[in-house]
Amino acid sequence: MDKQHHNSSLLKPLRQPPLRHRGFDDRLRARILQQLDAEPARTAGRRRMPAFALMLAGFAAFLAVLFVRPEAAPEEGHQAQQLSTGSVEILQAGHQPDHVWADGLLIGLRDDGGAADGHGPRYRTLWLAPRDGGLALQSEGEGILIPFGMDFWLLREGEPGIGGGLRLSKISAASPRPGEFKLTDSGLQGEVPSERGKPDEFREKLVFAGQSFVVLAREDGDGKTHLLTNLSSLASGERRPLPLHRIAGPEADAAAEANWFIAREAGQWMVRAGQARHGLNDRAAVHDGLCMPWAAIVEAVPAARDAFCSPSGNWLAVLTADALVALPVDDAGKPGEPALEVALARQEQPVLAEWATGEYVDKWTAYLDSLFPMPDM
Amino acid sequence: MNFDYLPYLGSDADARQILHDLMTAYGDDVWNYAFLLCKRTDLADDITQDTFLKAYRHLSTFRGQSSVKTWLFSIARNTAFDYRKSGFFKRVLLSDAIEHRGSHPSAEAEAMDGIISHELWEQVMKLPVKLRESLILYAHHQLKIREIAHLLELSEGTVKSRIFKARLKLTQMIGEREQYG
Repeated sequence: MDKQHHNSSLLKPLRQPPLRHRGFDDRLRARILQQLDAEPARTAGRRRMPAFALMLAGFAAFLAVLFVRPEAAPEEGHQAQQLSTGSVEILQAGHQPDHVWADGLLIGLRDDGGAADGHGPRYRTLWLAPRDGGLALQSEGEGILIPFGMDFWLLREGEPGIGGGLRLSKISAASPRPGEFKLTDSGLQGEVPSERGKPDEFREKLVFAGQSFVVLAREDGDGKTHLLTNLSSLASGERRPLPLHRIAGPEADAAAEANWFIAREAGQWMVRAGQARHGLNDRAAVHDGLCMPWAAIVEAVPAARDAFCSPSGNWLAVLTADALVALPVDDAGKPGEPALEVALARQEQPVLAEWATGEYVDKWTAYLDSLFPMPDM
Repeated sequence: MNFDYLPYLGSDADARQILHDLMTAYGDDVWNYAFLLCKRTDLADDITQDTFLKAYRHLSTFRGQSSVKTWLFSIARNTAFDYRKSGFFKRVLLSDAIEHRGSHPSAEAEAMDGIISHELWEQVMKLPVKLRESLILYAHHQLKIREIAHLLELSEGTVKSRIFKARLKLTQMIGEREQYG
């Protein structure tokens, strides 16, 4: 105790600045601004697509109508097949020794295949990242792993009737021991009026996660509604509804008046209400959008239903009805032959897609390896 | 000042205003950190200037994986290392090393005499840079061990060990100073 006290009092003078005068003074501030004035003006935002790319994206969006996958659309087939969803195939055709794979994709999938048997949705997360000169499925685990800031959140299927059937844990990247925030019904009592039954007479499923935001689809006796909230609110059980402009621009708030939902439309998240469509902003979905025309993707993978472009434009992940296919993209922006194929269940659809770039690729690989270790192959 | 919005900047964000805000919030922190790395006020000025200009140029790359303060420190640290590689810094270090072998205080030490705010800082500045850096990030900048480890790309255990050694060495230095005046 004395030693601890001595240590803390020893260092106490270090809380004050090292020098008697301020090092960062008005003189230095003025010097920096003067230097700044010598540089061309710039805005702070992320790079936008050039005009021609926007035109291509517009065309892609037009084509996308044909491929739209509304979340749990009722017309979706229910012919769930027993596929080996864990199987991974490394395809030699796509092996290009000179291709340098960059960026890693963390993709979260929800499988509604068990709904017909009364089961809740199943969630899993895949981490695809460069390894040994190629691309590999580095990690796979149960639940949706949502990166935010220095931490990760893990959302999993929970016990029916508690917290809408969802379970949420916050995991520090520095210490991969889950400090669990189990959702209880105590935070829901104000949200579900008693005349509609007990607070737990509903189920929720995750339909989108991006940054700190989540969209949940809630089913109860009155039908299905969608809720936009954030992770901390979900963890507290409060589920504070957020206005749609937080993720999709001011005009999206009008969609909240209608029966809105969120869907993937050929490579982009879209808030939809009737005929209105609103793309997500950078606050909710970073690196959202395609790096090539949809037609080029379909040409490379005829069964394509959705796609994700790496931030560097270096590779492409394409979803078909039963597989996730990864292809290299050359410097001219042309997709090569498929290099990796991961089998999916028929009812699996993406709920999260986050890219890691630069140093974070290795950091996430190391972290995910400890959280979701893969068996030796 | 809250910078939670930084990872989500739109294309129309006013980078200059953000730079102003960053300097207001973290100017002192970045300068003090640069100073503890290089021990020279003129170099600390240069490193701080380069740090904020680099941050300005790369605002769009900040993804919120660390705090803004840690991000700026990381830029400052890399900038300081770039300076260290330059001939100028080598000359400074060399003259510093030569002076420390002799009985006279270095020009730098003489220059610091009278401007250091507390005698403990004088002792801290004599610590090897590896120990000094971890200790000051912890004791002055109040970073968590996890953040320091992330910034220095070390394990948390190594950071703890360095802080422990720095404390131990400081205690010894203070003891010797009290004993021998």
